[in-house]
Amino acid sequence: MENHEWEDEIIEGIRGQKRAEPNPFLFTRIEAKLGEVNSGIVWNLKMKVAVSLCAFTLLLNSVLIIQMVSNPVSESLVTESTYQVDSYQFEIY
Amino acid sequence: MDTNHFDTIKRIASGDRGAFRDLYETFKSRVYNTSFSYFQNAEEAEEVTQDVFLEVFRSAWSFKESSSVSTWIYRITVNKCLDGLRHRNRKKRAGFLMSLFKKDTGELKVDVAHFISPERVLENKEKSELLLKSVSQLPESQQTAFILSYIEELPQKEISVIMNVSEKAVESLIQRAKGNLRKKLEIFNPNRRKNN
Repeated sequence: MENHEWEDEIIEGIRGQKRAEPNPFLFTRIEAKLGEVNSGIVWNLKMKVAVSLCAFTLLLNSVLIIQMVSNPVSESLVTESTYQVDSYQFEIY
Repeated sequence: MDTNHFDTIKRIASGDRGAFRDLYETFKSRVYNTSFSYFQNAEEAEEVTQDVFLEVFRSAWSFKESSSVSTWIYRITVNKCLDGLRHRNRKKRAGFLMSLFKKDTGELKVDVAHFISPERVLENKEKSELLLKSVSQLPESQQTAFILSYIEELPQKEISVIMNVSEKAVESLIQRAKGNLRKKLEIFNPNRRKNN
């Protein structure tokens, strides 16, 4: 069996070594990135609300237009008002 | 299971920056050290440490208390390191192909490879560097098992949870990593060279 004392000494020597510390300013950098991420999230949220409002308004307008075009109630209202005007005119004469 | 930091994670999920700072102070050296073991480069290790903590902040809400916070953070760290290494290797491969040819003439040029001379007597720091360089040449799973076991000194049970494999598989990965490392280190062994 081969003797690997030298290699094993290097491998085992890595155990228990002191941990390296990151740059003390790293947390400031992370916080700055976090700010960017958060402002991105807020901006996305605002955009979503704006787009939803626009879509809702468009939908509402379309529904109203369709209703105005196809609803027969509006016709009867016009006819009724014509009768009223006619009767009013009758009363005058 | 270590339930110490569950409350801190809950506070982070609700946007508490103070809790985030506390968690950073507790885990910064573990994350940085692990990243450094993969990259052997302070700049890249800091980049990964930053990405790990941003990920922790973003996904604190999704943390499940089925594992410890330490295991969860190690898992994020290992994944980020492996992603970073894959990205670096892709870039290196492209860069290597480019470096084989001269820009102006397109002729093949020869680069002198960088290596540690076996003739030199290795000091402790150099021995660590040599070992880390050899570790970086191991397959991904052996590399991860060795780093978590030998450098981070985590128990095999925790490593198995981080790597999502059985404890037996971890044991086998560590043994194979050691075998491969011995072979890689052998060429630098001054006694062996004298005998040959």
